[in-house]
Amino acid sequence: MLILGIDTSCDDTSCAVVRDGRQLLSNIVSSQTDLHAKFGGVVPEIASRRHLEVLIPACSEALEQAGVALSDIDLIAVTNGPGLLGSLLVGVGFAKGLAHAAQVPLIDVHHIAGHIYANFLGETLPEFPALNLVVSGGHSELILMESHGRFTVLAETRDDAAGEVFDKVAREIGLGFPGGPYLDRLAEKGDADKIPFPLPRIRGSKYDYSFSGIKTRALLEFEAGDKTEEFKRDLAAGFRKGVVDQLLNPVEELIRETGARSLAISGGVAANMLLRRKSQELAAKLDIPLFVPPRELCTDNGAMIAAAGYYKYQMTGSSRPQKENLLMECSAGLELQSWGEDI
Amino acid sequence: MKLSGDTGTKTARVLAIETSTELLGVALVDDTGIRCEFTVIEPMIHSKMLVPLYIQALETVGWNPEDLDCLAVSAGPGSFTGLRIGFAIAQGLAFALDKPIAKVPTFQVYLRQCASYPRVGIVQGRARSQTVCALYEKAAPEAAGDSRTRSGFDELVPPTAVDSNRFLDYLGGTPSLPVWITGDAAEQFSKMAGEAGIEGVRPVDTHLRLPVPGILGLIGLEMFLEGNVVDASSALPDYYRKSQAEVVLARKAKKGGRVD
Repeated sequence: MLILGIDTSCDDTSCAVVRDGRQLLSNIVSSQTDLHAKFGGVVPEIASRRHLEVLIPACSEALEQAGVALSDIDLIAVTNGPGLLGSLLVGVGFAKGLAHAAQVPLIDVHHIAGHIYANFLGETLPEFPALNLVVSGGHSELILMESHGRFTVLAETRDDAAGEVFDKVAREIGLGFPGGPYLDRLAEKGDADKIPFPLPRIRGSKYDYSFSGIKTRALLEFEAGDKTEEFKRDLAAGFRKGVVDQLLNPVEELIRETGARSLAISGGVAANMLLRRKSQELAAKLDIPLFVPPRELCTDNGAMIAAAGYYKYQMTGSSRPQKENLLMECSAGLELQSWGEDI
Repeated sequence: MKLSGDTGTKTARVLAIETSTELLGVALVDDTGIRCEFTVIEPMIHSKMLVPLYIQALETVGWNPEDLDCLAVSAGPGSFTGLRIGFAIAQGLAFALDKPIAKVPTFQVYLRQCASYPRVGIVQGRARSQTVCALYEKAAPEAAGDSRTRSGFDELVPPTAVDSNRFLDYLGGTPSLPVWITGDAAEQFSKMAGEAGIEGVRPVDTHLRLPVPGILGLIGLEMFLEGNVVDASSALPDYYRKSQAEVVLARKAKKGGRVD
């Protein structure tokens, strides 16, 4: 089965072709970073306009690179939330028109489920139950997956997402946009022990995250500091370690408690070098297999949507009439639900 | 009107998509006229209902999607999100069917609807600072200037992104009164005029204040027969206004960092 995956949830326009949910044939991502850089953040209206400009070129290229025609496609999977509503509407609208005219079934995919399924693109698949750490500019969640499409959220952030605080602190220090990857590279050269960021205590919750406190502290440290390159490096290193320590802190206990047999990390922050190293160490210590997607599948992409769409379609979609599929709606704040429970 | 051809049976078939305002509409048009027209006035349902609505239209008339020669899409000015929903769906459909798109200027649809009025102002957009306004006057029958529109109007003020207060001031100072106002802000704008003591600014009849898909389709068919169409990949809305973020940034740059 050939799946065309489409994601326009934020500021990347992506189309990809995947075979049977595992084999990546093409993955085209048209980044809008340059457009938004001068505003210091993503401008929803500009993002939506650009999605519409580049969707057909991205889709044509994805088909061409995969060496297939639109008429070969068996399923179209598209992100319908969460994300920027105006952006989601473009991808979903395009997918609907395409699916109707090409007479191909259409399936909706939750963006977080997509990130999780980036780890299912490959030869070896995570074994269930799998503990997923999904970390991006919009999300920081620990999600247990007992089988395909069964999601239980065990921990989430109370305030900012990890990727969001990386970007904000990077912007304040005067790094590029989006700042997370710049901060990561700067931190590689710093001493994380010079300015330590201890774990926050979150009242009433055992596993939840909170990143707004350490973000504020980093901003205050920067204001008070001498702004030399060495200081910036050490601040970046200490702050990065603080975020990563917190992200991995509940993992050991949760793996024991849930009996998880694999640990999988996904989302844009999964490209963070320290998070990759530390999670490797942790997985080795716990003697559990670790799954982290290659960098290009950490950030938003259509391939992960195609992969998730494939499994979801097997579980829920194949008997649903196309007319129902075409009534698909988008939601900026869509909640993650196990497949089969949202019908 | 028939497409050139020996058989004489080939006709052009157009699917019209109207999403520029809170009115969601689809129509099927061929050389016999408007064969089918469905409209719903309800905000926030366009994305969900557009495809099912045009499928219903196609089934009602008995056309297959492959039978279509062209899609006609309301190109703006209008709601940014609304326009994009129409274009995104039309792009997907036209790309898969390999059919062209006629970008029909939304204000031409208003004018065709309001052809019986001697002078027509269009005020699109309900937020006063985010309106697009235009002014037209019925042309003398023999005149055929460059600014002549499809519906026999002369363009006195082309579609312009301007605060509706300023447009009202402009109207108050011109001899172009009385004027009949259409557009989704027609009623609101006419009230503003009344409150400002400017006489002769009145809304057109209620049923003419939103663009309808049948008229859109008729203009789209004309454009198709003229060859005035684009590929799906270059079919984009004409927004007429920049995003608010760009406006603010430009203002900042102009005033050396001060934003008012």
